[in-house]
Amino acid sequence: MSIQTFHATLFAEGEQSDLFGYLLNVAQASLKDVLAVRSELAWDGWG
Amino acid sequence: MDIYSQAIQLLLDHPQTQRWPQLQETCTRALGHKPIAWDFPLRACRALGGTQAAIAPAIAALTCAHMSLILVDDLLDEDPRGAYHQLGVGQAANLAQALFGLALDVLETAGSPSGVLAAAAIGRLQLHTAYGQDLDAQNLRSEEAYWQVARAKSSPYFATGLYLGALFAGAEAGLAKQLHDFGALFGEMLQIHDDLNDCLAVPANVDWLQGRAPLPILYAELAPHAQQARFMELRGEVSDPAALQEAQSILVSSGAISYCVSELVRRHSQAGEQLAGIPLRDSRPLEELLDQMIAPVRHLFERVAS
Repeated sequence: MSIQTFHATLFAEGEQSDLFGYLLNVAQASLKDVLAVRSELAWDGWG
Repeated sequence: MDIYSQAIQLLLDHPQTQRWPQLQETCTRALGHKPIAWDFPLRACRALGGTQAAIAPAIAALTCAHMSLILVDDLLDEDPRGAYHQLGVGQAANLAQALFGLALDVLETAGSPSGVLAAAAIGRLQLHTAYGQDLDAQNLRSEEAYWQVARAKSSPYFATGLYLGALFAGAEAGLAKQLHDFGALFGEMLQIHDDLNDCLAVPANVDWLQGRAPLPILYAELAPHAQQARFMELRGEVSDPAALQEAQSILVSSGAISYCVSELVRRHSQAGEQLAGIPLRDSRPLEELLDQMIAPVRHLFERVAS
């Protein structure tokens, strides 16, 4: 899905799929909550 | 001796390594520093029910390839941790060449019927990654270019790891190619993880400071969100911790982080379908890779559940 389409879908009014519901929760979360799982977001050693 | 140590011993026993102290030192250092995905050949072998002892040359070649790629990557990124600071630029480039040559020779002299196919795969890994590095250095700022770079720069290494393992486990070329394609998708997922990690680093990572466009930043630059102009202002000020925090908050609220997560979820599902179509003796060694990729997404969803 393109960035433009994704953005429009994520912030669209009305019924969302389960996945987009979760993704919207992420967009509405605090930076602190997102940073809390940052250490899991990469395997060490890739450039 | 474990399989990884056996693999490194193959490199250390090579006549060229024995007569070249710098190459010997580099291979010796690898004993204590397993490269990322070093175990991909082993996982492929286990999934196919092959004999573990046969894949030491595949692990040795992949380790050489990784050391070579990192030497060059550090040069291109001007990474302060790069070995070229001690070796000099020319020597680092020369050592990178030597490591790829060593990988080829170890594969060809292993006596496997797949030695030629395996050596050709290492050649393609070098060629495709170099192309990806060149594209990356051009700093092209479009979605199409981003995925092109990820496929060229990140996918070949992981794909080759599984491909080599499959060949040395005795798989025919078509089956090995299926594992290769699964590894390529894994490489794209890893690149997304890496971009997320780098963009959320504190203090600002080199991706911010060198004006690059990893996926979250590319999204924040291209998506029509209300804070786009502010983000572009902050982009050049991220050495200031307050500006970095505000820019990272915009990555969250604009949907940039959500977009990356959705691309991870999409590839995870695609890779699961691919895996289901590969006739494996035991799919668990490869399923574990997918589980590791998606676990942080699950944790994030749980944490932010409203």
